[in-house]
Amino acid sequence: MLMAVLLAFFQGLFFLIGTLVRREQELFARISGYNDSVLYQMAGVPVLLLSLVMVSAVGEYVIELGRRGALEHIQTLPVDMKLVMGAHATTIVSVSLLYYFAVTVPFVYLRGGPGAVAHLLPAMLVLALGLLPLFLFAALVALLTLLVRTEAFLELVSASVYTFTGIAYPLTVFPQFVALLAQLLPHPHVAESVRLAVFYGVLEPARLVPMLAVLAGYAVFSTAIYSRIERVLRRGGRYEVVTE
Amino acid sequence: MVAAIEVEGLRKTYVERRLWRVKRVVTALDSVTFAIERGTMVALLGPNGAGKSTTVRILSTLLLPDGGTARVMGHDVVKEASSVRRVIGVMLDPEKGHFGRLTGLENLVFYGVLHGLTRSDARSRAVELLEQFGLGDARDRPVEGYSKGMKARLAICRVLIHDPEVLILDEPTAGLDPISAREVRERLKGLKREGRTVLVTTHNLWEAEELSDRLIVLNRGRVIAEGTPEEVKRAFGLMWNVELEVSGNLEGLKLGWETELGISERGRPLLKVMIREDPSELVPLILSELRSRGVQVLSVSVREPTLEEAFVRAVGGA
Repeated sequence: MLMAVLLAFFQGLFFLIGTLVRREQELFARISGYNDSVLYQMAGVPVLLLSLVMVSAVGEYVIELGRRGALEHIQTLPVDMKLVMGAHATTIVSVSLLYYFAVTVPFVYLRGGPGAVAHLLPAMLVLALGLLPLFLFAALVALLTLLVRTEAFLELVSASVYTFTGIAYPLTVFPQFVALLAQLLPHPHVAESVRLAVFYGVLEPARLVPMLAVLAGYAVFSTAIYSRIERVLRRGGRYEVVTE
Repeated sequence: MVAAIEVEGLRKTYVERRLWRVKRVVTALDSVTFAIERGTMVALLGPNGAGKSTTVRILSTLLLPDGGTARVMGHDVVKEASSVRRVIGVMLDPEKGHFGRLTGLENLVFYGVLHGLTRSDARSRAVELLEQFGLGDARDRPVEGYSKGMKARLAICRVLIHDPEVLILDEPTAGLDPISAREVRERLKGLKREGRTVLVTTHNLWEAEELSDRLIVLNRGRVIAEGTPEEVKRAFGLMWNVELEVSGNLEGLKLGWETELGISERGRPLLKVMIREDPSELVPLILSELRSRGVQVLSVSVREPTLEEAFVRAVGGA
């Protein structure tokens, strides 16, 4: 709920900055050395917030299931946990998309008129695809949280996502190796594709291909690592996360 | 009779680590072997840390053993976990596993669908179970408002939603008040009458004796006794106490059994005879022996050894 309010708040705030502050692009370039408008840069923030919602929602879901003992009960059922997580993902992704659309439309309309709103459709498509690797990332974080058995891990990852994904500010401000590492996360690719789609209404192959590659990579990596983590969890027999 | 659960040489060790260093190694199961016949109810007994929960969790496919094999209805719990999950119903904690904001009916339908039932089949089965377990009136109320006893009954409904052949219940009456616990026990007896195979762990020895056809006593990861409650008592060499209020000369009296002399509550001489064999055969022999020695018997009482005595002796002496 807090994230939903934050998303609406930041969308509005950045719209105001981008609209009201004159020569903001020049100002931003002087501060960051990155020649983009604040509005362009901040168009990626929803991706960051949605990702944080996703990591938090999936992580909390797994932690809560563990706390209630439901995770153990689900593990004793003849159903693949991946299917349960998939159902959870479908719900989160659908709600996130609808919410993103609802919050963004007014600002995009005010800024660019009806034509700009049409740009939101490719942006939604990109976001729909992009939310999948974000979900897989969140699912991995949730499983790792189960493995290390402390909720602090979840918070650490959320903080790292905020800091090292280059969504809230350009990756160029980081040392080069951090910028390279950040490219391994799905977030920068999704954010950049969403920005391009929102601003120019284009699905640029140069951006989409890395994003799809990251999506495929995360799908393969998550599937492979899931079985290993599940085995480690079954070897230890612990499905509860320490929350205090 | 075909075995529903077969466990052979099961081993499990927990390694507790602090960072990379091994802090503690605990052997939870050390070559545990037993078999449970179809249609019987068996209680797994043992003190804390005996290995009961570890056994239950391995049989429920939640935990991987380090060695040995465990099969449920012929399916290996490691290699055929999915097949095992289809034939078992597991209750790990009567209060846990429910979704508090969902109603009792919604909880059961959710688990039914995850078991592969269609929504309508899950619903009709859930309604039937809720009625059968006295939760019909509460079926549309959120579970967070249920009492402990209601949650325990709902947990039994949950494990029965897919009509499993084998039930694995870890301390089903733990934390319940005596009335709720009695209700749950009655339901468990009903399951036994339906011919299901039930493995139940409990700390309540009286409950184990009342419910189960057979007992498996674990201590420090090993099976130390197995059999009917009577067989377990006998296995630990427990004796019946035959208490006789007598009058007459008891000086120099020697019988063929272990005896003790004392005073009864009514202030009469009390002769205690400890026997290991069936008292229905031995008591007449004791009486005729005493009569032949001129001792008059005023009253006779036979006290059975309790399972608790057997348990304490077994665990304490192990």
